[in-house]
Amino acid sequence: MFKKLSKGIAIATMSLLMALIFTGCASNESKTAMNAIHKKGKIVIGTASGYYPFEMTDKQGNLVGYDIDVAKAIGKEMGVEVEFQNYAFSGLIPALQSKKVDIVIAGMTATDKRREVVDFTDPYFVSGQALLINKNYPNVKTWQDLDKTGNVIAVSMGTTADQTATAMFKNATVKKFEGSALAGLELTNGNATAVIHETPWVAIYHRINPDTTYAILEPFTTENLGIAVPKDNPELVEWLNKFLIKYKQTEDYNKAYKYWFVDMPWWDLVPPKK
Amino acid sequence: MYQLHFEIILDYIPAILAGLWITIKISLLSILFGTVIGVAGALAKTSSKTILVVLANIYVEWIRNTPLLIQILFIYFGLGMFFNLSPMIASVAALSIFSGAYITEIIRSGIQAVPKGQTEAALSIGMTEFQTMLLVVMPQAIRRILPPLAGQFITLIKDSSLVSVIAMADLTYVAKNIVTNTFRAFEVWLAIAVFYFALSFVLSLAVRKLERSMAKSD
Repeated sequence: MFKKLSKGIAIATMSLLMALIFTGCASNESKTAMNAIHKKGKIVIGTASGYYPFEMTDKQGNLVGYDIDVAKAIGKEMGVEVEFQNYAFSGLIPALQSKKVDIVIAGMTATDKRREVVDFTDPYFVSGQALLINKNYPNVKTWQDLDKTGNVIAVSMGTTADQTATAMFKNATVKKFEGSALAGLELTNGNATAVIHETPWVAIYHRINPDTTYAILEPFTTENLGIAVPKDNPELVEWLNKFLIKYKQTEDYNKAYKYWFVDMPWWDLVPPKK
Repeated sequence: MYQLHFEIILDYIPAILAGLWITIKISLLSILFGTVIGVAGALAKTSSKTILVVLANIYVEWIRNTPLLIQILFIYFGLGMFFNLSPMIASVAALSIFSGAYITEIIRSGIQAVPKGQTEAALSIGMTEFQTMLLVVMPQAIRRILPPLAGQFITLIKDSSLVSVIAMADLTYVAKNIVTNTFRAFEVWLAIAVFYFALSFVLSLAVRKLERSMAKSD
């Protein structure tokens, strides 16, 4: 009887102790995400350049774009330096999982699949998939027209365009490249029927290659772009959500939005956002 | 903490096997064509005609001193502007040309390591240059070049992973695709590494056996 009781007490104490240790760890870890950034004096932001006009490199090799402005505003608000790490798009989530970067701003859509492994902030931009089509296939008007046996769709691997194409296209062949630049090259070389990508990218790629492509810019999907954060960092997500609300009321935001999406000459090719 | 879930691999076994088959096909074809190029290159480099030596030198130095990734992109996207190359043809062409340069050097060193007296003796008993090469020099050279050649073949299998950038659905392409679908990077890459290891290891065992049987015939 006594033995049983003492065993019971021992187990209870042990489990209490374990619970304390684990909750201790958990709360510590989520707090350290913000603290660690302040301690380092910098926030490491993962992105994947080549996605016009969200992130790209200028002639000097500096990262520029809508997302880059958001990232710099975050650094300013936190009072820390911003260090960018430029990955292939498909390498961004592994980089978050292994904590190589603090957050990811890369025009990334907050999909359910990605939510299983990382957390997202509230949307900071609403976008959708559009079609860039090879001029040798003049009869394509909708994505359904594209889904014919023998048609080749080029996409950038790991993007929502990749996921959309793989899920929606049952008859066409989907070819996946490392980055949208190579997918675009496949099209302008005449080896692909179409490239699927988000509206701004399709608009600008068509502008660069008007002789070989035409664009159907009306998006056939709706996508919410969010900032990706490693799992279980509620404070950081909350901070970023508050920041986004505040940022959207600032002059910086108005300027950035106007610069990247309104005054750009190619923007008049893009249908108004719903 | 990242938790390992190896069972995820099981859902993708058919895709992985399809990728493995492509990798085997590309590797074997490139080994074959690379060896043909290498023999031709070595004969050109050891020939008495200056023009052949110069051309072979340009080929070898240019290929050995530029990255394979760029050669693959150049052949597929660059030449692709003029010729309609399938990813398969572009992959095999790039890997054959690349490994051909290294094999040229391996075979050349093997040929030149055969003492000059052998050639002189063969010629002096009335053999033609071709007979001398085929019957006297080559049999001795092959034994010397087999180990470095096997190393080159194994390197080629591993280098073939680079063709995934031109959407060639090899083992690496399949792996990248699974990773983007599942975000299970460690499990998938570890499994893929095991497949590459198996492939390379089988090849090196085969070469070792060949070496041993050649040693016996001495």
